[in-house]
Amino acid sequence: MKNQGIVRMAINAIDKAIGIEKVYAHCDIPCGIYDPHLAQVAAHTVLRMDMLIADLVKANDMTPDGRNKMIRYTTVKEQHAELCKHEIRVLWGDYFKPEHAATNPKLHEMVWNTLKAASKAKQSTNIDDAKALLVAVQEIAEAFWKTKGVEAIKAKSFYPSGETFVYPKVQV
Amino acid sequence: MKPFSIFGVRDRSMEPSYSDGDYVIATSFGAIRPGDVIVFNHASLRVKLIKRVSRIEDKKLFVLGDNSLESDDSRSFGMIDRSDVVGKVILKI
Repeated sequence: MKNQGIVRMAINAIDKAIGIEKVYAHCDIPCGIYDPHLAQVAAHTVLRMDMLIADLVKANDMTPDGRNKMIRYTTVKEQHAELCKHEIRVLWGDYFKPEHAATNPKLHEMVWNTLKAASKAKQSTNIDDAKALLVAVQEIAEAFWKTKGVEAIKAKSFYPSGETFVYPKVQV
Repeated sequence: MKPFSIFGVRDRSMEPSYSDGDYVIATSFGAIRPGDVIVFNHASLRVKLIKRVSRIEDKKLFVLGDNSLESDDSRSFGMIDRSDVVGKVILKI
C-alpha cells in the first residue's frame, strides 16, 4: 500500500512535469437526459401567446390593462421561442451523433429549419408561423424517438393551443 | 499503436472501479473480451474515453460506464469500431 502511494506520487510528479495523456470517463457532463418534450411545450406556448394576442387585437383593448397584457404575451412568446431554440440546439449539439445523421440525412436541415422557424415566430404574431414552428419541432421529436428505437405517436396535447403533441409510446 | 501506454483518468463515470485522478496502464496486446475495460478514441469528439466492454458484435463494441447514471456511452453514441480501441487496461495506479 505504501509502495503504491510512492509510485502514485512519482507518476503524479511526472504528469505535472511532462503531462500524461488524459482519458475521459465521460464526454461532457453528461446527464444523459435528453427529451424533445420541452421544445414542444415551448412551441405550444408560442402558439398560445399568438392566439391570446389575436384575441386582444380583436377586442381592441387599448386600456392600460390591455396594453400590459399585450406586453406580457409578447414577452412570453419571445422567451419561449428562444427556449425552444435552446432545447433544439442542445439536442443537436449534445444528443444527436454522426450515426443519427447518417441514418437520417435530413437531420441537419430539419434542425436548421426549426431554428429559422423559431426566429420567424419571434418576429411575427402570425398564428401560422407559430404552427409552422410546432410542426418543425415535432418532426425533430419524431426523429429523436426513432433514434431511441421507441415508437412515437402524435396525439391530442390537452393544451389550449388545441394542437397535437408527439409522445413516446411507452411500454408499461 | 504503442504496446503499453499510461493515461490519467478524468471524471466519474467509471466509478467505483476508476476514479478521477487515477492512472491506468493499457496494452494493445491480447484479445478484447466482454468485461474488459478499454481506452478508445471517440471518433467525433476527438478525445480518448475509458469504458467497459459490454458486448462485441463482429468488429463493433458496445461500451458502458460502470457508473451508469453519470455515463455517456454506447447507450447514447452507439457501438464503437474495434479499430478505435487504443488498448485494454491492465493496471490501475
